[in-house]
Amino acid sequence: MRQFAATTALLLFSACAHAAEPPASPDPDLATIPQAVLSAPTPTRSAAPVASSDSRIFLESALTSWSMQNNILVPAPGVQPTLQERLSLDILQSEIVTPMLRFSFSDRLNAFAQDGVALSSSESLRNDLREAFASIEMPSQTFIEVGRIVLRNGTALGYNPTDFFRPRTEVNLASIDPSASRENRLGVLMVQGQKLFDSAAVTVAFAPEVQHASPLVTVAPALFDPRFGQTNSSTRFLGSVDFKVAGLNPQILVCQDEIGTHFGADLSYVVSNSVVGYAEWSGCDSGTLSRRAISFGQLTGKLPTEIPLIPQSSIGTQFQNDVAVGASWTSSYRLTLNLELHYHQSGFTQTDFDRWINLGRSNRLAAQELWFIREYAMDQQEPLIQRQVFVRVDWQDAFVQYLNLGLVSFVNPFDGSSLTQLSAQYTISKRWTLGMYVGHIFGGPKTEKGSVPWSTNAVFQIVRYL
Amino acid sequence: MKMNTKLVCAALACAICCRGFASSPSDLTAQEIIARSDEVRNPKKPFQVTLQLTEYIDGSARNETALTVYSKLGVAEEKFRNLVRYADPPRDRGKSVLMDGTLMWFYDPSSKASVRISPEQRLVGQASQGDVITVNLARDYTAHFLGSTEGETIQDADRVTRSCWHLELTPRTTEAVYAKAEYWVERNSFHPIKGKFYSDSGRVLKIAYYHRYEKQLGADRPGETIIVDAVNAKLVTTIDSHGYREVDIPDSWYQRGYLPRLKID
Repeated sequence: MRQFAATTALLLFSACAHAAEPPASPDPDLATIPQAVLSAPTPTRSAAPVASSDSRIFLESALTSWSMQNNILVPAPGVQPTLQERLSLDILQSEIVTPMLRFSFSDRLNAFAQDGVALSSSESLRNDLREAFASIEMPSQTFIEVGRIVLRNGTALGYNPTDFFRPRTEVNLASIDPSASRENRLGVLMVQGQKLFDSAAVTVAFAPEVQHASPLVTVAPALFDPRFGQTNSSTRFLGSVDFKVAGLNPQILVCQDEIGTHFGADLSYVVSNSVVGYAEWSGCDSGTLSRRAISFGQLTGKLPTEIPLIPQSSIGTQFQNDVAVGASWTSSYRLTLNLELHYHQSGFTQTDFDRWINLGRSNRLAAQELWFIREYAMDQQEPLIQRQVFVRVDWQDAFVQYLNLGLVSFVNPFDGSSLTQLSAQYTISKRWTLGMYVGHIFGGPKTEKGSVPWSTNAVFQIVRYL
Repeated sequence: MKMNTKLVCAALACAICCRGFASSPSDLTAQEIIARSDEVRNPKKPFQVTLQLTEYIDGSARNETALTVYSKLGVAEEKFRNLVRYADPPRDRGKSVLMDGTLMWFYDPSSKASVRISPEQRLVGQASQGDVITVNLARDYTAHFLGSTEGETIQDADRVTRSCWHLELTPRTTEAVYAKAEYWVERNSFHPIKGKFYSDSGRVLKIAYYHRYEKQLGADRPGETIIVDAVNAKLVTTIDSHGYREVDIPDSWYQRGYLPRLKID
C-alpha cells in the first residue's frame, strides 16, 4: 500500500510538474524594447473613426532667390525677380453634411514680396480658389459632383498626356517656385458623374465655357479673380472608363474640346516586387505647338493678326501623338527611382529649336513673339521639345530619420541640357516641416534648357500645420 | 496487486487528463495553428479599425500617425484587401493607399494624383502597417514546428510567461514579404505572442510583440503590437489597434477611382 501511494504520488507529481509552466529562459529580444515603450500609457485615441469634417490647414513661407545668366541669345520679355518671399495660407476642407452630401473646399491665399512689387500693391496678394464643389452620393455607388473641381488623369509623374483638364490650370507661372507648382492647380467648373462597379469605374464630365479665353498671365490678377478665362474658356466633355484586367488596370478616355476629339489610354503593371511599369498615350488631330500658340495669341490680342514668324517647319494639322512611358523602382532603403520618356509630337524638333534660336538672335524684335510660344507651352503644361527624359529620385529617411531627399530632372536628349532640382525636407515635429530646394540649369545658351534667363534658383521653405 | 494496477492506471489517466486540460490538442498541425492565430488578429467579416502608430527613437516618442483601415477578406484568394487612409498627422491627412494583392495605388489629395506602387514601395510609408496587421500568414507561408510540438515557454512583452508553439514560416507565395519568420503562438488561446521576421540574407528585419489583448468584435485581439526595427536599433514602433467596427465594404471600393472618395464616416 505504501508502494502504491508512493507510486501514485510520484505519477501525479510528475504529471503536474509537466503541466506547470517551467520558468522561461530570458529573451534577449525583450531587451530591445525600451522601458519608455512599455510604461507608456495607452495612446490618446483622438483619431476617432466618426468625423463630420476633414481638414488640412497650413501656413507656408517660401523664400526664393534666382541667379540670372547674362548670355542668353534670345532676350526674354518681362523682368524676372531675383528675390521673392511668399507667405501662403492653404486650406483643404471637406464637410459631410449628410451621409449623401459632402462639400469640399480647397484654397490658397498668397502674399508676395519681391523685386518691383511693393507689399502695399494689389499685386502682392493673390487668392487661388482651387476647388469648391458639392458631392452627392446616389444609391448603388453613383456620385455626382458640381462646382470647381480638379480632375486629374494619368499615371506618369513628369508629363501626363491624358490629363485633358491640365491646360491653363497652373497658377505659379509668375513664379517658378518648384515647391508650390505641383500642388497648386486651379480646378475647372464642371459637372462630374461617376459610377463605380465591382471592377470598373465610368466617369463623365462636362465643363462649360463661362468666359472668353484670357491672355497669358503677365500681370497679377485681381485678388479674388476665379480666373474662369483660364479654366473655362471653352466647352469640354470627357468620358473615361478604368477597369481591372490581367493586373494592368487600364484607363481609356475620350475628350472633346475646342481643338478636337482627343483619345487617350493609360495602363500600369507590377513587373516585380520592386518595379512598376506604366504607359500613357493620347492622340488628336491638331496643329503644331507654334501654330496653336500663335492662334491663341491672335485670339487673345497678344500677337498681331498678320502671319508672324513660325519656328516650326510643319504648319499643317495632323494626328499628333503624346506618349509617356516609364517605370519606378524601389529599393529596400526606401529609395524610389522613376525614369520616364516623353514624346510630344506637336512640340519642337531639335531643328525647330535651332531655328527658334537663330530667328531670335537675328531678329531681336521678334524675340517677344518667339518667347510667347514657350510661355504658351508652359501655360498648357506641355513640353516644348518633342522628346524629353524625366528622372525622379525620392529617398525617405535618408541618412537620418525624417529627412527626405529628392531629385527631379527634365533632360533634353538632343542637346543634353537639363533642368535639375535637388530637394531636402526635414520633419521637425508633427506640425513643422523645413524644406530646401535648389534648381539649376545645365546647358549652354544655344540649348533648350540653357536658353532661359535664370541659371540657378533656391527656395527655403517653412511649413506650419495648424 | 490488481487494485494497485487499477489505481496506477487511474492516476495515469488523471495525469494525462490534467495535462490535456492544461494545453491545447497536440495533434494540430503547424499550418492549422498559424491559421487559428490569423483569426485572432483578423475578424472574418469586413471591418474598420483605427491604428495609432507611435515611433520611438532612442526610447523617446518622436512621431505619431493615425490610420483608418478598411479591411475585407478576399473570397477567392483568402487574402485581406485593405484601404488605408491617413487621419493624422495633418501633413498626411487624406492620403490613401489601396492594397489589394498586386493592385496597389497611392493617392495624394494635394496633387489629386494616384500613383501605382510596387509591393516594395508600399513598405516605404506607414500605411503598410495596415497590411502588417492584417497579413494572412497561413496563406503566404508554410509553417513548421521548431523544436518540440509541445512548444516552449517564452516571456511576452509584459514579461508574463506564456506557453507557446514555436513555428518557422517559409514563403509559399510570391506575395510573402519576408524570406523567413519565426512565430510564437500561445497554446490554448492561439494568441500570437511574438514574431521575428528575416530578410533573404538571414538578417533579422523586425521583431513584433503582440500584447494588451482586449475584446474586439467578439474575440480577444491584440490591443497593441510593438515592432522593433532590427536594422535600425534605435527605432521602435507601437501600433495601438482600436475602434474595430463591422462595416459593409463594397467590392467597388477596391479600385483607384474610389481612393479620392474614401472618407472617414
